[in-house]
Amino acid sequence: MNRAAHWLGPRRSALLGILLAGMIGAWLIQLDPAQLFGRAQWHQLGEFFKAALRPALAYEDPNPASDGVFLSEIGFAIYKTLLYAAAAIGLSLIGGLVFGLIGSTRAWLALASPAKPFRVLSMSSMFLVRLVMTILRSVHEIIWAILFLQALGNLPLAAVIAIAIPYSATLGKVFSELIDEAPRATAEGLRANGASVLQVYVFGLLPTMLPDLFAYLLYRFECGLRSAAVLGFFGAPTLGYYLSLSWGERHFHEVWAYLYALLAIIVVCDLWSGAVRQRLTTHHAA
Amino acid sequence: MSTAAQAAFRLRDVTVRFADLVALDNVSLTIAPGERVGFVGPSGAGKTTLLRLLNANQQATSGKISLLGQALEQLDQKNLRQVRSAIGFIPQHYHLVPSLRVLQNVLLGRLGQQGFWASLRSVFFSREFEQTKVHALLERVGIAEKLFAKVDTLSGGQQQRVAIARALYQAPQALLADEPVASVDPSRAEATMALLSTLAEEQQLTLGVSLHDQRLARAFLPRLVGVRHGKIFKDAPAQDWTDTDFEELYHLDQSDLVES
Repeated sequence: MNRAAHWLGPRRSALLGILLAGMIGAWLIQLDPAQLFGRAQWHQLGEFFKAALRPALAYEDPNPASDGVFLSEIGFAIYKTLLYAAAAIGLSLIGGLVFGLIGSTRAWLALASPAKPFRVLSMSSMFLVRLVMTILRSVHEIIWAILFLQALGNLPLAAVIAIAIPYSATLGKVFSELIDEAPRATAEGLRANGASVLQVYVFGLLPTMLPDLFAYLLYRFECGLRSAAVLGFFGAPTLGYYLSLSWGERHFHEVWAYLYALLAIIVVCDLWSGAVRQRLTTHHAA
Repeated sequence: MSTAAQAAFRLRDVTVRFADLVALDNVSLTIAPGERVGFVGPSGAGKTTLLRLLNANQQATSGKISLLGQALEQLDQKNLRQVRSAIGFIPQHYHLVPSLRVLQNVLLGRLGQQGFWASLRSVFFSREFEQTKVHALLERVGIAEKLFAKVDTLSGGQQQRVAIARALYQAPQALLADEPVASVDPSRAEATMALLSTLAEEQQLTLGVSLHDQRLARAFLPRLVGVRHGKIFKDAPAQDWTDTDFEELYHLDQSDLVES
């Protein structure tokens, strides 16, 4: 008995526990590997991946109804995806800056009067703000999109707001951490002049945070491109919309063309943001 | 008028405690308008805490404080900002905003007297009369040519002058400088002290300076307050301070060694 317990130890028992939980879970949802075999869909999946080698350059099914050129349609879809992502990120920047300030410990500490009831009030307001931010962040943009499309109809605003809500809260969290970790010195210097909390934020903290803030914003823009594309499945005229139409018609070569287009803009965005970040940091260090 | 209204700074039985450390222990002190006072004493004695108290930047654990004739406990946020704004504070490490220009950093001195939008306009779209005013102040402290330079390209001595100009731009009634000669080279130290004391004299500002150098303290500050272990060790005109006083003030005893 004792030897068995010794052999198990904390690491092995954790591993065994996870394995056991996995098996119970698989059993409960009736996971059956046998279902994988002998299915006609495998053939279709093979077709789909074979199409990856030859993405479409023209409509697969010359359809008299679609009068445009396929490549120009991709161009249009890319353009719309960029626009939606840019609008959503612009809105999130505003939301993020506001959430960043009111979600930071430092702002509330600065506001808090020495009197104890005030301290309690301002600390509980801070936790309330953070709770709201967490809730907004933890609901995925697709859920927000479904909600807003219901409420507003298929408007560009619905898609943009759907992306901007969780992104504002995420940016707000990152910005509030930047504020709380920014060097105290400049903020102290301005407070000594009699600056208000908002003035300390805008003049003392934002300028020093700018490179980090901008770098993170560019990263979010990249995520925004993906989100904007995905919201196409719900009707926004972005890459996802055209992708879902082609998928519905089993035009896999077209699907791959859209996927490659999405990959291309994300890679370009990544290269661009990398270059900008490098310029910002070297400029900052100089 | 009460005596509290006549004093520039008045502390009554003030204690400041950080967790289990007593930074200032039952300190009482009155400084009249236009007085020039040096705070001397070993590192960690409580000089910086004392200066921060005089700028309403430090909460007292107990005791009464009145600054520029206003009792601190009666001030709301707005009045607190006004009092801070009327006292120019020059931190030891200047605390400038590194990514902004000299002009903008000096303009930041008026934050306490402006609303948010007015300050945004002033700092990022300064008008000609503001630039002229800042230029004149920079000329006064000897770095007029740096008006448009980025602060992080300046030397330590130049940054100190920007911090002084920023404090003056507040149009203050008092000037407080925390260890202004600790981080500049000795040849500059004398010039810095001379500048601060001339400025105070010219504009009839109350001046409070913390420093270690007893020669400079005696040369430029008519009244010296010695601080040791969070208590006032000696408070007297500079000529009444003997070499023995300074030796005793800076003498390390057993408890210092144990504490550090």
